[in-house]
Amino acid sequence: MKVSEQMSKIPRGDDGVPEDEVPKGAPEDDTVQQHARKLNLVGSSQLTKAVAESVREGLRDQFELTQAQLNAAVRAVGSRLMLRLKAQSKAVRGVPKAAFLKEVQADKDRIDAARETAKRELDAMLEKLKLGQEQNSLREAELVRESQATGQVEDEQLAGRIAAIFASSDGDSAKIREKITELALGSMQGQREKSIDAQMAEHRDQVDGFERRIAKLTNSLELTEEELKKMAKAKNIDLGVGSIYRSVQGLSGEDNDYETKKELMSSIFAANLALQKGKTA
Amino acid sequence: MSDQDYNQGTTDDNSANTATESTPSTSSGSQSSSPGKKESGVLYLGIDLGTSRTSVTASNGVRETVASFVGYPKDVVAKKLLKADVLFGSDAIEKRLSLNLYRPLGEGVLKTSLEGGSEDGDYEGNVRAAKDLIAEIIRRAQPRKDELVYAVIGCPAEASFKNREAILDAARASVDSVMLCSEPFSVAYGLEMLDDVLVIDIGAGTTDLCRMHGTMPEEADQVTMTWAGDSIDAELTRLLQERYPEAQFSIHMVKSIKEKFGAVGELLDAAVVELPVNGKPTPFDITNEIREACQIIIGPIVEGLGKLVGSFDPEFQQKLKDRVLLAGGGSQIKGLDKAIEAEMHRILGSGHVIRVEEPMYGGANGALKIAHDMPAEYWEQLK
Repeated sequence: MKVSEQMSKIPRGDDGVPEDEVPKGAPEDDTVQQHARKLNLVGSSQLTKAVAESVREGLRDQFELTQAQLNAAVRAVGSRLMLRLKAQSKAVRGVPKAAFLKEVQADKDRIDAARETAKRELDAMLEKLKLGQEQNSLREAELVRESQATGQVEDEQLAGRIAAIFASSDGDSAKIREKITELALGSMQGQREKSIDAQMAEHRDQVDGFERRIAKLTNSLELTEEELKKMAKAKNIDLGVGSIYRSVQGLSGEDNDYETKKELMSSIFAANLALQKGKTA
Repeated sequence: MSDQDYNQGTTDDNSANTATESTPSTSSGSQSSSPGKKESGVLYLGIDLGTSRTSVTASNGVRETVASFVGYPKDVVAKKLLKADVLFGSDAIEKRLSLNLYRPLGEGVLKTSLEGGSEDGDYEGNVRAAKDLIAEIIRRAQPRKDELVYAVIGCPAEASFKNREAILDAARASVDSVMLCSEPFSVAYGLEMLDDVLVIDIGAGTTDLCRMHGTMPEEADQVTMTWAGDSIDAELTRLLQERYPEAQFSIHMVKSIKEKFGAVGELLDAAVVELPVNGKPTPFDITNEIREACQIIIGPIVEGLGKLVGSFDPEFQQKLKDRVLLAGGGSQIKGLDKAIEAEMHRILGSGHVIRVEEPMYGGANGALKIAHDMPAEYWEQLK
């Protein structure tokens, strides 16, 4: 059996949607309403009561028990049933409503944000598309005008040539056919070449654009690399090389010619102090 | 640690990082770090601010030299191409066509611009270039941000007050305290030759002569002349143009040739260089031109030495002539010590010239030693 045949046998609602795939939480859906009408609503107390009666009747039919024993057995089954139901319902009831709503709200916010982003992108794309369409329309109109102008000239030229062929053929139809065929083929070849030239020019423009873009990006990359080199170099410079001295030195009494050197240092200092004072004066 | 230990490091040698603390001085009486946030160390810098090259020697073991050229992009296009606001040294020379190029210390002092700026009124541009150059050389010394930085800058012996002021201003932006001293003095101090010595410091813009006699040199003890490296370049350029008019070259090419082949005397190696002739590299033997060009500074130097010797106590004149210290970038000219010695014998009757071992760092090493020996209270007062 083909897949399409299998699909056709699946029971479908009025709108053609398979009944098993209809979302159960969609209240506006007619199919769901039909399913809902088939459900019987049973409360927990009713369920407990029904179970208790069923157990009681079952035990009475199968065993000879006193009324007290029957009551005890029914109570035991009822309490165990409630415990089991409570245990199984904990997972659902464990999520507080506020937290659940918060999560839902967060999801909603995310979806809204994504929708906004998508909307902006779509708007931008539409804007671009509109701009492109306008440009294309303008270009198209321009091309049509050019084509019409060129076509008119070419048509006139062609008509002139055909007239010339007729005028020079002396009524020889075979010769006329041959010459007109030659003329038509030449004209068609010319049109094809023009079309190819136009396409080539468009491709060249695109290639030029790409080359300019690549040149810009290459230049930008080079500048970035240069900056990185400078930064690396500057980092090295900043480190510097430490001096062997941790404190100011000065002459030592053990130096050769200590007294002479001391006098010389004093003289150099005095000259520099005078220079500095002269500058500040 | 000996006094010279910290002069032996190189840029690549980071052994100073692991050096132990130096024994504190007992004489200055002020060993405590200065108040303020920088208390984790003291970095001393010795800087030789030269016309041609600027060198720094630091107490962290770093030693650096940069050609004293500063270039600023001419326009936005150049700035984007060079990817920098300012270029220094050989980078600036190499890219000079895109730059306003400054050599801020012409003849050892702040001067007008070379290229790009107005020739007669760009003092401000040179001050800015000098500031940037000093900041750059200090940056290359790799100071740590948490250290006190004390610098001594060697400047030409006869630099004007205004120039010294400008150099101080430039340095203050990058260090905690700074002092100036004369270049020839710092060379002698670095070698502990404080008494009875004549120092010849041949730079690019100036040659400084200094008489050391145990005290701070005074004006009468110093002679500054413009017969120096640039003079040799100019003379070599003139000779090449005169004798090989078809050869094409720039002043930078001439300078490179001089640095490679510079020599005086009879034992010269042949100096064959390739110079373009209408675009084609062509070999030229310029041995004689180099010798002639390099010799032009000998006469003026010995004449200056004669003045310093002649005006000194006659009893100690012989001692001075027997201890002539040849330093600076120009001292690298082969045979120059012997040539000066020979000229001294001819003019002054005798002379003994000693060439310093490290001509490129002699001034910076001396300035670093001065910075080290300077008492703490002096640094504090100049902050």
